[in-house]
Amino acid sequence: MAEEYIQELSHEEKMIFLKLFCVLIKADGKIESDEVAFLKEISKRYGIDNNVMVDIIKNTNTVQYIAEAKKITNRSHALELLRELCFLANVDDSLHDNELHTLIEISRAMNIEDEKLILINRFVLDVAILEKTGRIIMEKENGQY
Amino acid sequence: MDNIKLENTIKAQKIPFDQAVEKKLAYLKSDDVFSSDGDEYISVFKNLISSEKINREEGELAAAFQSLISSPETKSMTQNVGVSGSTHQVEPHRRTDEHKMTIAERIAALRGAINVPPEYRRS
Repeated sequence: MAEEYIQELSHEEKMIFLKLFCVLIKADGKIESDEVAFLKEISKRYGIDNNVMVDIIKNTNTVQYIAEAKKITNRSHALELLRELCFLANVDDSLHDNELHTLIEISRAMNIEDEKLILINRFVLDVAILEKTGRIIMEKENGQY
Repeated sequence: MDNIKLENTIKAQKIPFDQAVEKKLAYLKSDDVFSSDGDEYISVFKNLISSEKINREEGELAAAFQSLISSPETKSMTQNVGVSGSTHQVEPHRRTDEHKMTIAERIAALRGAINVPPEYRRS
């Protein structure tokens, strides 16, 4: 399911998505290794060269990049972007205020309702919890079972 | 939505991950889940059995209609359904009368599944 939307994205949309991931990562003023791993993996899934990715990161400009979010006019693509952003925002155990503000700003720039953002965030959290629980039950990971 | 309400709602969704996983595991292992799963499985099986029974009943009704329509004694009663001979084959989905009600619809109507056109209702 997660991979299907990538086939539908234009090159421009992929670039905007990657820029917005960088904006969110930068939002809390610190870079976690999980966040870097996310960027690496997602740029690979999008088929974007490492050098291009490095350029995007170096030139990260929050105001400019968020303004580009308005170019995502396909609602389905916008929802997928939010899903990925919510995943990224929750990849560590904390949700910084600036990360949250950035998430909300991007969501509103794409004209997605606040209630939808709440649902997507809930969904992303539930999936992450279930996946981890499943790995423990299936003994692919240590934990109480 | 108000900014503060939105932020608070999203923040409230976030609980420590490990704690959430433990909670989920505990729930899955709990007696409630096992017994409710069991009850759910039993009810699903019961529904399967009763739906098979309904399908058999439908088949019996269709067969009853077939014999009714095919019977020479009832041939005159079935003029409205356009039967041409005593050996005609019932086609359940063929529109058999001028009021456009198929045999399948008649069967369903007998089971009360659809609204019966006024001209077919018994007074």
